[in-house]
Amino acid sequence: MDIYNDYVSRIKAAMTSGETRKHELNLEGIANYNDEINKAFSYNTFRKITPEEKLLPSMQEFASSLNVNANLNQKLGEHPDFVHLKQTKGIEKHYIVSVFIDIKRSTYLFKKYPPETVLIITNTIQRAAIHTCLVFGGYIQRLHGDGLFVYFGRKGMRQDDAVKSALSAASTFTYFVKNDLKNLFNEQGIEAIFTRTGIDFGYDEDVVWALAGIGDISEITTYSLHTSLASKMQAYAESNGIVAGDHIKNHSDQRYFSPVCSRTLKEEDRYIFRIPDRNFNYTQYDFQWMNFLKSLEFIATDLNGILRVKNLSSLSKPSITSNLQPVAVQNRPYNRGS
Amino acid sequence: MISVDPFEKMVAEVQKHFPKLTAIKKNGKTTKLVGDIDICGNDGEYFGTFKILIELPNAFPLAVPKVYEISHKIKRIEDRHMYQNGECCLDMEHELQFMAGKEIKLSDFILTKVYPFLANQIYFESIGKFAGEEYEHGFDGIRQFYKEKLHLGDPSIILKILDSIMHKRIQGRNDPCCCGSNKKLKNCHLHQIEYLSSILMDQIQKDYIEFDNFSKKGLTS
Repeated sequence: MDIYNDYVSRIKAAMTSGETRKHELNLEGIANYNDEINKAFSYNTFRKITPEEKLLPSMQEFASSLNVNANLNQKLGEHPDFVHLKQTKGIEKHYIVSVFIDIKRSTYLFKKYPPETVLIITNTIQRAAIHTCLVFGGYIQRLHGDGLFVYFGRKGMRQDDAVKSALSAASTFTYFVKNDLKNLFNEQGIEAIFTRTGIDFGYDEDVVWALAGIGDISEITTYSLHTSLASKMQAYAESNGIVAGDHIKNHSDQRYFSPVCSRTLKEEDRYIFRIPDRNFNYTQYDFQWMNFLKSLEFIATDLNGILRVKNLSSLSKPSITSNLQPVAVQNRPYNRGS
Repeated sequence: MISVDPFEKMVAEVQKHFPKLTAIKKNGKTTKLVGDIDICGNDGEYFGTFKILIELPNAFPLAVPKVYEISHKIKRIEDRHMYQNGECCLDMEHELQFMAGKEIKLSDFILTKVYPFLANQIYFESIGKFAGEEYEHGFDGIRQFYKEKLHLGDPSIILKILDSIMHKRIQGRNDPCCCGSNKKLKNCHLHQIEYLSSILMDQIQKDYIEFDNFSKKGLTS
């Protein structure tokens, strides 16, 4: 997807220079190895061309096309609507959507690349994930290895909108990993990484916001079955899959959800959590994220089934005469008259 | 008893290409599709979006769906091949009826008729003319179609062929052609007759009347 072009180019630069370094190391030894790091795509070079305080240009264009100002000044574990609880030590009840995105197989990168290259690759992928969530209004709660734990929703926001934002962010990022990153990894002859994502929604009465930890070793977090279930459901997702709970399905278009057990053919996978004496059976669903993504307003699906982001101003204006004409010319309209 | 939508698979196939179209059902059967169609160029570049409504007639897939542009992005005037009610004139009716004669596959219909029509409207909006040729309006367009598609320019021959189809006088491939050429049908107007025989009899009768009037006018002028 075009919005990730600048992320892909940085990862590619790191991968390419990483291979050079390996080659140099074998032929000429350690001294040249370090020289080559500096000449090629070092972490310092990466940091210079990838300033932390900005989205990468292709993502910024996307944010602008959605009229969104991503807040890059967020702090981990400090949802702005509940950060005051750090001082008051009180609690509040408020709904939240919890999203766990796990990135798998990045360890394999160490087989081929030196640690500094792996740092650039994984850091860029993680930035892509963070930036995607920020553009869709997420609040990054925690980093998990290469993955993320993100909240969607805030005071005054409609619950349906929070669910849609969470699903949009997770779907967009999964598309990036499944397509853009996979293609790049295949090009470089590396086993592709993949994501597994879990998403769930807890209602006001089921979510307690409070301070966890002590002093500086603390964060504002949610105490909710549904945050725990989001994390748990992620393990049931297939490669580049998203699993969501009953409540997410209830706030979304139901046609995008199918019970996990219908994929695994194991009845025990139907419910992610049960309390038999209360007759509480909570179903987990495979979320058909690709179909959902295709339905979003900012996405167009071209005639080859490839997803295109609409109205990116960074893209050169496509030529009507050379690009649309071959499609349009197939039409020869007729009017039978009034 | 649970009724099964006979068009369920067809709609699923449509949604593979056009995921923003949703089916509207009546008594468990899809009767309409409504939603956005995003128009992209040959290399995938996005150009625009139209909201459309596709009405499936009772006789579908043996009858042609009606397509309405309901986002009001196209001027509803004859020169844009649009009716006042938003119905799109996608193609020569004979071509659409010929397609229906072989049973319309909805995704093919949208891909080959609706999508290019909408792309052509974006082209017109930007360039001020359509990308390719267009048929003349009314009967002039029908004459043009007979001449260019069916290679039939002489109204007297057209009338003989249409009359034979209307009165079911078309015989075997080795019999004389109804045009009066004394050639065998297979060596004369077989393809044209096969084509015209597959479109609606109402259309054939209408064409006959119009060619007949045209022919008489020509004789008197």
